[in-house]
Amino acid sequence: MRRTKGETIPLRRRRGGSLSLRVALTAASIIILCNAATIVVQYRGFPLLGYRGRSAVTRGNAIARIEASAETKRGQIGEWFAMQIDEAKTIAGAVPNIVPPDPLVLAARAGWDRSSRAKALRLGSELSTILRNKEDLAAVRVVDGITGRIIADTGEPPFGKADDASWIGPSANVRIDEEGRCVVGYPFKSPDGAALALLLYVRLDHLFAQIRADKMDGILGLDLAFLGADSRVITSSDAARFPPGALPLPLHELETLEGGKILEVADSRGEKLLAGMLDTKSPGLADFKLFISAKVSTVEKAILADRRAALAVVIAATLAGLLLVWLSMHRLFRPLVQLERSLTAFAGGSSPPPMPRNARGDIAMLADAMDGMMGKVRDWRRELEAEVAARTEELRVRSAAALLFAHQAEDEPLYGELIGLISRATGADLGVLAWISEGSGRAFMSASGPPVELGGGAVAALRESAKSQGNRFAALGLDFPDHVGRRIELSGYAEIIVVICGGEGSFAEAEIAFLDRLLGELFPLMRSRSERRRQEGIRIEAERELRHSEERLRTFFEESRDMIYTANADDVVASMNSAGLGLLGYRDRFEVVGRPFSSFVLNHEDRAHFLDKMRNQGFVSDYEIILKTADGRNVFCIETAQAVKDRNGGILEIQGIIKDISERIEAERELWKTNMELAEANARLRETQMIMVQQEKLASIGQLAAGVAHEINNPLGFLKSNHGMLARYFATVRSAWEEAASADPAALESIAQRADLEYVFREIGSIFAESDEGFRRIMEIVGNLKSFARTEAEAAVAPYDLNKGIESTLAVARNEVKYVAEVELDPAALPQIEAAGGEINQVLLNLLVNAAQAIAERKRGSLGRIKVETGTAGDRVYCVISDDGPGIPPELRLKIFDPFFTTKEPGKGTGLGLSISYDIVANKHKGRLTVDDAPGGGARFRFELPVRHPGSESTAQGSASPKDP
Amino acid sequence: MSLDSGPLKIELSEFSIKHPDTRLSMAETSSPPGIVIKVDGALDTQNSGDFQVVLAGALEIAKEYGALVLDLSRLNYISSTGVGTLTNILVESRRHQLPFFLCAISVQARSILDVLGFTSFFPLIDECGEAP
Repeated sequence: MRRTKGETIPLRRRRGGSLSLRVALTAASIIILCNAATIVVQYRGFPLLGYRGRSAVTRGNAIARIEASAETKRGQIGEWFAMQIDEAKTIAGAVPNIVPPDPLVLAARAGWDRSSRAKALRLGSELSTILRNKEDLAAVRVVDGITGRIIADTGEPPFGKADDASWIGPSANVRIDEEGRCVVGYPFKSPDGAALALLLYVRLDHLFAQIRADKMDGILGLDLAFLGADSRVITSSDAARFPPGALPLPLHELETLEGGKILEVADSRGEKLLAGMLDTKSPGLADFKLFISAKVSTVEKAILADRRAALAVVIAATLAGLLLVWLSMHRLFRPLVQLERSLTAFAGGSSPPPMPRNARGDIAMLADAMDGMMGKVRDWRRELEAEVAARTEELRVRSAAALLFAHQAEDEPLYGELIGLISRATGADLGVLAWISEGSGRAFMSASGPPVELGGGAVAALRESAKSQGNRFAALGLDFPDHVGRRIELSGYAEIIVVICGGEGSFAEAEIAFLDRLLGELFPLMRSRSERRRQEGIRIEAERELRHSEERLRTFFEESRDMIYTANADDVVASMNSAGLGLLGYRDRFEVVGRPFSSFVLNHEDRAHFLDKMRNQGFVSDYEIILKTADGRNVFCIETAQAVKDRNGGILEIQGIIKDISERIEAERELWKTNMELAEANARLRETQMIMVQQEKLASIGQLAAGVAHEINNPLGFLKSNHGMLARYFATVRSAWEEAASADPAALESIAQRADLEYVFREIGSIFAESDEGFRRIMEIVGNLKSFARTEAEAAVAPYDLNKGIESTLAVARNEVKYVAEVELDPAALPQIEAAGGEINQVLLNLLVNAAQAIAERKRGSLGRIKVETGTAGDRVYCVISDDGPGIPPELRLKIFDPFFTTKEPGKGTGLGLSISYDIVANKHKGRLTVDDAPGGGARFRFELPVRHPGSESTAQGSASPKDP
Repeated sequence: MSLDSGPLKIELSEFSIKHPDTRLSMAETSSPPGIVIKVDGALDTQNSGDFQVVLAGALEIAKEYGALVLDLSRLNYISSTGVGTLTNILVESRRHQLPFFLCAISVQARSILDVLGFTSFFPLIDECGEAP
């Protein structure tokens, strides 16, 4: 709530109402307190006025009080006698320790001797000693529990005396003897079991004295009497009224008290009493009674006294309360009411009435304090108003300065106006402000007119003065007696220097303090502005650098000879340089941007593999890829790319460089192709070489064989002719001898026997037969050699059926085969071929015979197996002859086709069969003859023959090496 | 020598460790009779050199078994260097007169060979039966 000068301030009314109301409430409270005090006093009593409070006697509680007293006394009597019994027990226990009582019992019964007497006296002396400490006891006696004879006594010597102990019984009890003495009897036994009894003569007067002294209700004037079994007084508190031996009341009155109640009775003098007769309720005191009484007049006096006291208390309380109320009203509340009026008037702005002067003590002090306070408040008010005015002006200046910073974008007018504002606010005749940033700055001066800018020397001078003299700027050369300067460091690179100048004593502390406060408030603005300027400079420089960097990168991107591209996370082209467009055969960038990169790749799988590597390792290096150009060409390229990833590892962009390596690939391709062709050529060359070597070998051996055959043939001819002539001549001679023997058997018989002509003639026949066989074999060998060496022209080529040739050859070889193996035929439908049938049959025969001989070498018990199968393979027919013989070791397969190579024993073969067969098949028919292992063991020979005899087609490609599998 | 315990097995394992993106395995085949090396992955510039060393060892082993087969059904990428490796092995196999086949060549590898014009040089088979 804004307040204006002169406006009153209403006092807030607190809860509780007006002061008068509070006064009334206070008065009522005081009265209530007084009444409460009265009640308390009535309960607890007021000894000063003799008021007993709740203990006051009334008609109603008088009897109860008497009964309570009686009960108390009864208890005391019981305790007292219990104590005496305990005493008896203690003394009885001490007796055996003093003197063994048994001899004394005997002595008392049988007669005392000197020893027993002494003991009895000693016992009695000890008991007397004990008795001296017991005020309640008059005497102690020890008697025989059975006979009653006295064995010890604290009074007279016991010898020969007896006492009646029969009344004691099994436990202690009490009686009044004939002499009126109260006796406590305690039975006990000696250590030897003798029955004894201890008699304690107690002082009833002590009992009564204790009863009377302890807890006696003196208010009611109670009297006590101890009555015997006959209701006569044994002892009493008032011997004059209740003499011993007399009845306390007339008998008829006593009889009314038999029930134990407290009743109103009259004594023998007719005085009314409140009395009661009660039994002691103590074991052993059954015959005794307690008589308690109080005079009715005494009770009534007590009642009256208490009533008067109560009334006095009430009156006193009431008077006290009224006095307090009056004092409160007069001393406290009236001055407070006056004080409140004064404060209300003061708060209302009016002249307050004087403080109450009739107040005393604290109220007076309060009134004086209020007077002083109000005076001070007036003074403070004046000071505050002056301060507010000054602060307001200062705030206006600071607001104006802050507005300058807010609205003035340019520094020059800002600082110029600022120094003018400062000068006016401080009352300076002249003000100077220098603003320096990163070494350079400007200075402005403000006097009576608008601010003007000073030269650069002023800035330097100001800085120099600031460094050397702190805030003293006397060296500026400004002709003013008084000046105040401040240097404000905005940051490590910017500062502001302010100087105000004036006449002598122009600047009091207030102006200087104002200047400091103003500069302090402007400091954050100045620093922020300076920092902003600096940051702007940095930004401008950074932008310049960025543009330069962008230009360099763009040049690199566009001028690169290789494709540089970027693609998004989905591998869609985002940018591509000119080299890339040229590589792909496009002119416009828009033809590629926005398309998946895989659309430019020959194999999409390659690009998918590329992308997998990018995702996994973030880059790919030297990745070969085939690109498709716009015109359908394939370009071999190599790519290096990297992925720009986000914080979670997801790809944001792919950046790649692709280089055309088609030339290199083409060069490599040519190289590989050349290598493979060379390898092919080498393989063919090796094969050809092997064939040529074999052929050369065969040709050489053939020539040798032809020579040998030729050389042998001639002498072999005339040997065979002569052998034939010789055989014929021998036959003639034998015929002549046989004729002569028939003519003269006797004479020739002896000659025949002497010459053993029979044997000779027989042997000569065998010799001629063997010779014939030898000649036959020699001629066969010569024939083979001739066959091996004969030329192609010697064999006639004609249509030939291979299957029929096999059948005819099997017929010829039957003798060689049938005893060693079974032959299985598996012929296929074959076309007729052009071949020298006889030679082919020769080959078949050779292979079949070899198979049979191989099987026969194993010498097994069952027949072997030879399988012959035929078939076609393209433009050739083939025949396979396999056996289940021992087979041919791999190391021999290269040699078996060599001439004269044989594994048979010497004389069992010439070793020419396979070489002749090879020559027939491979050389003469341009087929192929190979050998390998037959399934299940054995050897398997296979030969192929072209359907059409090559004839003039003499090429090495048709001949296979014998080593080919 | 058993294929499972020979040096070739070790070489295959070392290759797979060195080039975890490409796994090699081997087995004996019955048609054609020989050994088959199965390539699962890529043959690129980085691993072609080591692959050629492995195949050279396989070539020696295959002499005892009959033929060397490369199963390329799971070859997902082959570079020119990889093609060069295959041609080198082909040349070596010719020199040793050992049959060498490419089995179940993948579409990608086939296309590379086609582009390079090398398809006719390599004997291709569609499948090779592993020996029981």
